[in-house]
Amino acid sequence: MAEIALAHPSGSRASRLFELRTVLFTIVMLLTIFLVLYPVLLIAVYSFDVGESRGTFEFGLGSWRYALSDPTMLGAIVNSLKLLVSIHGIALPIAVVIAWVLARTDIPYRHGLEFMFWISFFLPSLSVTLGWIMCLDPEYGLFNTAIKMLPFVDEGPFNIYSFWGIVWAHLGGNSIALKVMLLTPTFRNIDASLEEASRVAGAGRTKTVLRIIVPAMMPALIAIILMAMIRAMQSFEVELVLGPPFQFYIYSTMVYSLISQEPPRFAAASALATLGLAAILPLIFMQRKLSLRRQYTTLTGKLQTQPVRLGIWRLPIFLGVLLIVLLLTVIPLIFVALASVMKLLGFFHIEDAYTFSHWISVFSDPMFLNATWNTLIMATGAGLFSVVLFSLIAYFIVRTKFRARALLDFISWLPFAVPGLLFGLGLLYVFLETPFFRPLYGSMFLLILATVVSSMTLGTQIIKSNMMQLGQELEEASRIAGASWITTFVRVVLPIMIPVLLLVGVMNFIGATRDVASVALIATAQTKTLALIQLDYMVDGRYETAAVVSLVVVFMSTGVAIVARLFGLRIGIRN
Amino acid sequence: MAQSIIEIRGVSKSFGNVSVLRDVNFSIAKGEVFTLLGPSGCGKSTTLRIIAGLEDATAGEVILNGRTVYSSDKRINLPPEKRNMGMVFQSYAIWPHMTVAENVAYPLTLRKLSRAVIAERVMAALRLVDLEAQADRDAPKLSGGQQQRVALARALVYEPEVLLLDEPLSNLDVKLREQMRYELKVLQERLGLTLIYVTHDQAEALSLSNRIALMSQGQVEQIGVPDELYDRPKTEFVRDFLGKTVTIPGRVGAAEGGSARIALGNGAGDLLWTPPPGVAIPAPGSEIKIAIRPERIALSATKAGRENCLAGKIETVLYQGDRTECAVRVGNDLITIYGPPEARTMRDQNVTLVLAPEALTLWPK
Repeated sequence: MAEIALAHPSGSRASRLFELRTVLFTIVMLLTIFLVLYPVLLIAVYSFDVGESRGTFEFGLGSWRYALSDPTMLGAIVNSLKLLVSIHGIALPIAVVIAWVLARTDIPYRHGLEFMFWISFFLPSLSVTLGWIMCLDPEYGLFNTAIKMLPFVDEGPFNIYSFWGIVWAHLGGNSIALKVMLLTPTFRNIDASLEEASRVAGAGRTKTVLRIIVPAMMPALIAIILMAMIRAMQSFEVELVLGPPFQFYIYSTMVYSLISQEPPRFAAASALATLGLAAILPLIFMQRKLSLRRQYTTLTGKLQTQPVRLGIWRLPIFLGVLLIVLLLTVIPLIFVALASVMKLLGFFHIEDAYTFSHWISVFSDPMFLNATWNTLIMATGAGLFSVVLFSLIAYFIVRTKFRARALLDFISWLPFAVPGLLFGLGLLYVFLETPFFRPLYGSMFLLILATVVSSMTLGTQIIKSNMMQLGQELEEASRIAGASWITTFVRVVLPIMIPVLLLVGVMNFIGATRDVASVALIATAQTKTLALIQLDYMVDGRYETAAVVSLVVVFMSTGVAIVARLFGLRIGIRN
Repeated sequence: MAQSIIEIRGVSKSFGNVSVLRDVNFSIAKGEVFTLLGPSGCGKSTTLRIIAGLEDATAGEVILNGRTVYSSDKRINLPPEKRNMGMVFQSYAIWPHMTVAENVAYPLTLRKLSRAVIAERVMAALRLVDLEAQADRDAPKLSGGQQQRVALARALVYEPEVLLLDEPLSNLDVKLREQMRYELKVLQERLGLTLIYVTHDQAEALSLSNRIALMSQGQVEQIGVPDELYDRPKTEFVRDFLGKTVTIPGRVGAAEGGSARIALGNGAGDLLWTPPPGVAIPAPGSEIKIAIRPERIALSATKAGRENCLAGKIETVLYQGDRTECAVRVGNDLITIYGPPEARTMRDQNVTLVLAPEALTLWPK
């Protein structure tokens, strides 16, 4: 009988299936290397190119000498660090307190407040910044003009075009909201028995917080600080709008201005970008190490201790948190909306002060219509492509034993650390300098790739963690029942994962609509998206027009997020 | 023995230097319930998964119905979907995106049967596990016990040659587990199923199995019918894994006919031991341990003056409803025995322990 088995060499069929899997894995592997590693590599390579003309590579260290000695270049890096410390030094304590209040006290309308922070996270930071420009512009900002009406005040006290103005715009953007969203569940999930054991052992509430809760939260806090630092290096558009009027550059806006000047200084931009990457790399390794370890130390508990009673402080604390969350969401949006329907913002007493003329002119502008179309194509394309790519990456990392999957895992982490603008720069090199790909430059395809790459880490992580929870036995049961690997993937894995895939698709749609940094360098006049023309209008000072576009972007990103949430998708971020 | 349906020959598995299975051999007859029993980490689940094709062995052969499905030497490795086995997983592995009927129909659709045949066989399988009424419900909405039945129906519906069960009852509560154990036995006998059953629960193994392979640290310690393992364990591991054992150190004394007198090391007296056929009496003076199951020790209030009686004093009594568990001081040793419920109030009383002579076994010290 054994001969019969030999006559049908059973291994061959298995190895053919194995081959199909290997082929797919190889394709995915090469694609991610091409999309993620290769652009980053090119940035480093081109920093050594001192050739004057394009297409010829001439080795030299001139750009590095420039980047390391020019005071404005070094100043940009110092400014990045100063902003990072200032913004997160303020945001973290505020976020910790708010998260604790939301998670552990009897503050009223807890869920409503949390929902507002969630909205704040999804608001495009450019739109929020626009709202604050309306209020805090030194010339005609509404807060300044209001204060100028007071006697003896000739000059408004606020200036958004300043270091602290930028800090303010970031706090109002998602620096606080992101941390609150990450910290609240962590506070909530601390196993109540840890706290109760401490209380029973004789420690008071304060002592318990200091000696049990805070140390138990430490890993989570450090992870969030690291994450904030990495994300801070990615900030771009707020500084691009608010910085140049007072000659203030951070390293990403410096890279951008080096490339957008005539003639572009690619080598210098690359040298600066490489420096930035070198600064981020240690952070990503630390972050990865921490997040891997955290899998074993997550604090989970079904039981909750009784919430802390705030007593007479309940109302004041509620009002305080409400004010903060309104400053993050409704207040800037109100001024954006107001600007969009005023002939000139702040001039309430002129004839026809309120008008829909901005709306009408924007909606009849071919450039706007083209940008809307571009945005829809890009966001939809990014949503679809990312789901396919990320689910394959996740599957290969979680469920196969290919040696190279460790490299795949690492590559999928890189985009989290590398600022979107730099990926844009890298992709620009790939598509401009490689003859084979040059025809694709100037197409929407390039923008889709850029936004897919920028959302790779988060998307892959979400699918990965869900696949891990899926449990191998569901797939094994299908194999035993007689299904091959590919049948199992199509009929068992994918259908179960559908809600998660939908979630990732929608999140990438939203991310793409408001993305500025990753597409700023690669979009051409024909492929500009709404977020990019909004940026153009803001840089040109056409705030009323920018306001109209801004509201459309908010509608397409935050609006879609709210609709998806109504349909039950748990859109959000998990650490 | 009847024709064997599964044969495992010299199966080993190791990860680098760590060996998880060492030279496992057994064969299973058609219609047999064969249990792989052992503590967690002993390799029983790995053995089952190698039979299923979910894991590869490092060496050895798996032969199903005369056909080699795995052989490391001949480089044969049939994928799980080609082995036509059924399997019930510990987590049940019910696919959450399908209804009960769809779950059960899945293996049949893969076999490209006609819709009418599938419908008929699905209902028949559900009838078997008493779940006809739940056919159109979403599978995740069922209770644990019902999911267990769906998993069973799904594994049986395509009439596999062998049914593999990996700790199938361990996620159920005690009452349900006992009921399912009973139903599984009835079903197996009615359909003449061949089962390979993995469990760490000795009561489950003893009550369900025709034969048991007790495993420890990647090796088979002993294979046999349940009472053989329980009454005539070959190793101390088997003896101590199945049930409780009382051991008392002693020394072999003079032979008396076919028996030997054992002087107990605790100074409580001596016992007469008769070796089973084919077993030799150790040389006089050998240091040994004498062992007996606690349920083979009777509690007597009066000194009977017979052979194999030991005087003792009850120190602790744990009342358990249908019986008591008494810790009795015999010489220097504390021996745990099972007493009648009435022994509940007998703390500090002097008693006599009567040890059944045929239940005594001798072990090296």
